[in-house]
Amino acid sequence: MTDPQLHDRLHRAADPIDADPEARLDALHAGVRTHARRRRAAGLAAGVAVALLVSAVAWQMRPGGARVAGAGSTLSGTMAYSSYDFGNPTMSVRARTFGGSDTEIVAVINDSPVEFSPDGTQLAYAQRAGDGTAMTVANADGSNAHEVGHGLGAEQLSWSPDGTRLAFIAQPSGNVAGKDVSILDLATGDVTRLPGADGYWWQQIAWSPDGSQIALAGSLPKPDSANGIYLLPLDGGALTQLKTDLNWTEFMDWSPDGSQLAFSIRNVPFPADRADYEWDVAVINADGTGFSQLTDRPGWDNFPVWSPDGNWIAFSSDRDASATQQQANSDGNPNGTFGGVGIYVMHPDGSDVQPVLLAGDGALAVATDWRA
Amino acid sequence: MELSAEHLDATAVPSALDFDDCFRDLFPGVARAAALVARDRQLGPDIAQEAFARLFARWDRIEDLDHARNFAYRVAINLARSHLRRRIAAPFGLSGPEPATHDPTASSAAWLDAVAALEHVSPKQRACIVLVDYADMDAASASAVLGMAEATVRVHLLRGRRALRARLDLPEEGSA
Repeated sequence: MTDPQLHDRLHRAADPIDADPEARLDALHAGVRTHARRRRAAGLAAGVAVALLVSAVAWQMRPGGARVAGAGSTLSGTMAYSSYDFGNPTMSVRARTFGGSDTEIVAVINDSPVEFSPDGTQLAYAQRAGDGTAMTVANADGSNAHEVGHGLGAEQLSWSPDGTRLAFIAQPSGNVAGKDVSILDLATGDVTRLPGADGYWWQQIAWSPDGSQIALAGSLPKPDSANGIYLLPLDGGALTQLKTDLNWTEFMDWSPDGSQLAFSIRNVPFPADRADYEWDVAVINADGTGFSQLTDRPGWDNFPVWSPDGNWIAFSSDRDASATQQQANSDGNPNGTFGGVGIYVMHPDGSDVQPVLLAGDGALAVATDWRA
Repeated sequence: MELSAEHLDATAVPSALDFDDCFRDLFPGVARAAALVARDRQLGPDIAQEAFARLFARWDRIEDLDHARNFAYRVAINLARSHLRRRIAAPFGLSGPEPATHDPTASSAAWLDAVAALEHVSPKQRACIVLVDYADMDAASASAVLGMAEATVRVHLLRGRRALRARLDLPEEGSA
């Protein structure tokens, strides 16, 4: 049954991988004992939390008890979001206007998120095309799509505040030591690589609203994997990590006034149990102060995007997914699907969480941008 | 997977010695198979460790070595495929928690060739090939691990092997 030639090639490839069972077995037993102690402590804490919750409900239900409503502001503008079905792995990029339409912008994009230009009239994305990736700019409704960069290896991009340039992350052909950060001038086609950001595995990029710096999420290659969100000043200043004592942070978005960043945080180290499932949303001031975790639930809250008026943060969550789907998401997708992930909004203090778009099992929706 | 404190307490596991033997026997193969599926040589052992942690949590319900082997491979392959899915979806923000490792000093030519070739078969084909042509399972065992019909495994094997052999510059099966 085995293909002997493939058998030989695969064993020659994989057998040199260091997989010493003794060291791993010791680590597993040590980790399991620690986990058991933590879970017992967590169980006690949960009991206390339930007791406090019951007390709070009782307080609100008694005659004269106060009930504070959400701060409340109207949802407005247009949200670009990606709809993804793992059973049929293609992505549809759509635009939802609050109080209005929900239209498809691009039928199939399997690469970067769609980013609206600052004035909302255009959108940009990177897409695999033939022998490389092409950056494409189109009208906000998806029409008049045209390539603005080809063969640059662009993976993620972000508009400059004045809409004249695109900053992008790229892995140049043959480069195995990290990714570059460059800027494409849309008028001239000139590409300028930014020094000081080489050697990292960048995953996300976001140009600050005042144009002075670029936020980057990523990490150094293992084993020095110092993941985090970094700020790269465009005046030649040094790359700095925004906050160093968090386990894993990604998927950031600037507040419209540039004073804060919303981002995702993973509190459980990989590969611990559920590590890849335990994501929450947090905010921090641009100077590294004022860290605040906005969601805190055993599950998947991820991909924050600020509303244009700064009053809301959209995020994706599986909080309303079926128990079966949540279990599958937690277990590493034994059924081959990750899903039940819809889009929600909350205020920047974490209050007044509301669903915007619910997704069924196996489906996923992620907000990528939100314009007025 | 939620782990109960009882399952996690080493003293509550009835046959810790058997688990350890099982671990020593299976771990290297599971780790390397996961590395092939994820196309990441450093992630493979991490994935396998996670798979065995979950196996340990349900050790009192494991019937025999085959059951343990199938469970460990199933979780590891799913985790590896999950990792891949996130990497595939990375462009719109769904990137995985760990970046791909590119360490040329630690990567043999055989590994780089295999990883480059495996990129050109589908995740399901890759899983079938790794289980059968690397882990020496038969199609029936692979179907049990992957939760798909044996005939489906055979189809994935046929198509996946054809693509993989072409990428590895191996002659068509039967023409050698």
